[in-house]
Amino acid sequence: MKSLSNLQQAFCDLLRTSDPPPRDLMDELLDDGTALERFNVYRNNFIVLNGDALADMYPTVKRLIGDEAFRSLANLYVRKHPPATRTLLLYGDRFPSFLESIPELSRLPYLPDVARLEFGWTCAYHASDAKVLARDEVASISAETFTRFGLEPHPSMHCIDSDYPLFSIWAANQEDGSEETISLDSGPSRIVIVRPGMEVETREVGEGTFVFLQRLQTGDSIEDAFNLALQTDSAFDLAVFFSHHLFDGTFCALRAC
Amino acid sequence: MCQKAKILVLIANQILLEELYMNNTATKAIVASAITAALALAPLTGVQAAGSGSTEKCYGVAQAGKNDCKAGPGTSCAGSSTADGQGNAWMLVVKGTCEKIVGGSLAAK
Repeated sequence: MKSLSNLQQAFCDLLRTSDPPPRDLMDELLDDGTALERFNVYRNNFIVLNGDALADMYPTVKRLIGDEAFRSLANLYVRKHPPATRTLLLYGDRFPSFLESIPELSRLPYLPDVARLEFGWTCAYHASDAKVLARDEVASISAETFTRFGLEPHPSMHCIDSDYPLFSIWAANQEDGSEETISLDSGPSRIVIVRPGMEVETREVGEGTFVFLQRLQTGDSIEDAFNLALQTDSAFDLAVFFSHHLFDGTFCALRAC
Repeated sequence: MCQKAKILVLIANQILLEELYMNNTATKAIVASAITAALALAPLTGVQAAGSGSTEKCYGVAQAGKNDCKAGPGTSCAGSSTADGQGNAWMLVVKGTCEKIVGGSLAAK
């Protein structure tokens, strides 16, 4: 007689294979003559329903490669990386690197980046709410001392960059029947995902904006972040950026550095 | 060290300090004026704010709310109509909108 934990482990391991269950495991289960059938139904549901959750997380990847290929990949992924938490809200965090490891997908080198974007989108969707940076909070500080402060981005913010025209690829697949042809050689793309209110915004930004936000996110002061952004992209215009985004929910607080 | 060299070093140091100070002052001035300008702008509503960006496009795409009941209890045989294919031996037939993405001199990332 196996211990309960051994039995459970053997059962879980079997869910991740295509092998028929061994006789001795079946004998441990309630024997009403249908144990094998019922095991197969359970295993099938485990693979298919977790694959459905993955498809909900990655609708653009699914659309890019088609339902059949996505299902094959999902079956493999669920076996390799079964859910590790009780909820499936953020299931599939390792899918981008999994896609990278599939040799058959090497001619679609942008696919892992699309997956990163979709995962970031859903993380932003479920991120904590935060208040919008208040004008009063900023107005209470003398303008000369701003450089010593940092800006706290909204907790939903994700910065994703790609060597490929990621934003165009993603945007063309958000609507039905887009016939747009995209050239993979049309350059890199930098995307900032943020959810200031209830709706997730996916913004394509310039290199300077991208560096500025990334640095602020890692805790840099406004001055350090701005200097780095300017070094990367001499066209970065802080006044234009702040006029659009200082009070639109991109940031939630000032932070003393 | 002779007196002349000392003076030269002192002058060089002074220039470096001044450059540092100038850069620092310039940065401070840019940041201060950018924030002052943003404060001076009339508050925009969300919709106006999204439409007014000349350098950036904002896309809000709504996704159906997710819940965790997909593979929870009560799903019974819902998935059994979709057959789980072979685990390892599989052929990847890619048939999707990726056909619309052409070129790729960057293919080896």
